[in-house]
Amino acid sequence: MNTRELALLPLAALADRLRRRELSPVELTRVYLDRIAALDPTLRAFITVTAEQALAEAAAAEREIAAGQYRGPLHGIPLAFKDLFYTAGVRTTAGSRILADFVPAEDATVVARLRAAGALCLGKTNLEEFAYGATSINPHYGACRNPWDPARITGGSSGGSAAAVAAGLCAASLGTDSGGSIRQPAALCGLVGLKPTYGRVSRHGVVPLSWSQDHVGPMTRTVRDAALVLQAIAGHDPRDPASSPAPVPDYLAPLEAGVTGLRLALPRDFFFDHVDPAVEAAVRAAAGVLERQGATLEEVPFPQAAPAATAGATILFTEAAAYHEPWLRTRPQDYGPLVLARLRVGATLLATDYVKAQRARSRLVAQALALFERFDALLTPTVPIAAPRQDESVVRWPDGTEEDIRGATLRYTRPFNLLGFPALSVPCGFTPDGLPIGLQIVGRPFAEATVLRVARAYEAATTWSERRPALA
Amino acid sequence: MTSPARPPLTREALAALAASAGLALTEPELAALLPPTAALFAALDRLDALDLQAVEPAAIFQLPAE
Repeated sequence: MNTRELALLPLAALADRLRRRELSPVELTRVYLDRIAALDPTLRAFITVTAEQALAEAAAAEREIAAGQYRGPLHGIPLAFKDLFYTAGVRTTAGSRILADFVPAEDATVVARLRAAGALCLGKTNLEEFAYGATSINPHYGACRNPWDPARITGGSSGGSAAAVAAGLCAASLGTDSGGSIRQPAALCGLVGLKPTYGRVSRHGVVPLSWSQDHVGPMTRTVRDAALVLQAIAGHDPRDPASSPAPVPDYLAPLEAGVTGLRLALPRDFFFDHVDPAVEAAVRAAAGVLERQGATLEEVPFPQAAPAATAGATILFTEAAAYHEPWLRTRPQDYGPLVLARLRVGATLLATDYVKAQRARSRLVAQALALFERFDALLTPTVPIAAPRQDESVVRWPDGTEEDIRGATLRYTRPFNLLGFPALSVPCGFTPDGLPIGLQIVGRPFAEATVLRVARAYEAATTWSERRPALA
Repeated sequence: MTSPARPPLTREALAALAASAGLALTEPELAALLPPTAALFAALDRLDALDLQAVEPAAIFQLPAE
């Protein structure tokens, strides 16, 4: 096996080799650092590479494993963290000029939990400025490029994480998702991306965008890898006021249980309006695959989606403007133009608008909970189009309408940030241009195990997740 | 109960909102801000169709359980 093949193995396969001492953490870390040096000048996936620290952590992991102190499947695994997560002693820029020199004194809870599980950090990945956007064309740290076609965007805001995982620059990454920022870049880069239930994973030590819609989750090459990372980071954190005390189940045990007897639903509306025909065909074919695996499939109305998108956008605009208010007044020149414009929209909304959106949220969550009593998971496209070119700013639909890239590519993911339900994107095909397409699987609150089980059944029945991009 | 939609957002109204938020905007900045803000205001009015009169906001204040 050459170093490229090694770098692109699933995390679980790397863990097996590390556990059996067929591969050393130092050797694996060097492979990734060499690939970052070779490929990142093109991909711009990293803002900060912590090579010396990573090698020191790898050496420590190697000594522990050699001494029989194996901690589990993340021990000695090199990860990369979106540069929104606090890392003790390592700058955390949030992709901004404003926080360019910010060095946290502590790790985010999720980073600390992954370190406790034995994982090590290769560096901090590029993102949209303050995670407020969908392209990862960062005005301060460069434009992330899609490993499937560097002329195209990775999506965002966790675009650097997506590029790094897809190109084999790390074993897995952590992203954040306030409107689709894990699932959308995962779909555009051919990865698995999981936004867990709101409150399932701690947000402590994560630079906020929208407090009531921010989620943390894994970005991986396989469904099993997502389950492994989620197992390590899920659970109550008293330092996150939204953290749930609900016990954490075993996400790995039911992973191969299949979908026989599960009730799946396809939405009749909204999610198939203004969609690339190749995306629609791939998602409907994926639903057929799951039906043939033993699930039942029905088409359902989902009228909550459109108002959820409006209420979600309003809440995000307002909460982001509230967090940024001091800098918005004193340092507007330090923002990129797009994020500055979005923050200004939020600053001019009324308090009654925000409360109206939160009241709509109450109503929509109740309605969606009632609807989800009829089925176990909802299947939708993750994104209505494949990755746009770097120079595209709008999508032109056949009916003559135009939609900006951010609005279009987050249209199907945003409703589930407002609702807080778990949602995962898994590769489900490619366009005629060879660009990845994502299937979104949405479950009931805290039903991540079911979402992962459906995704794994689909992944096992297909070969999409085995394809690798040209730039890897 | 639904309320009548607000009148379309004007440049003058937006200027007042921006000023009250402490933002110092140039005329071109104000002109650029108007379309997306007006679109959001209009979309918000459509949420009235959900009949929210008896609905409380989603929890933004919680005390810890015993």
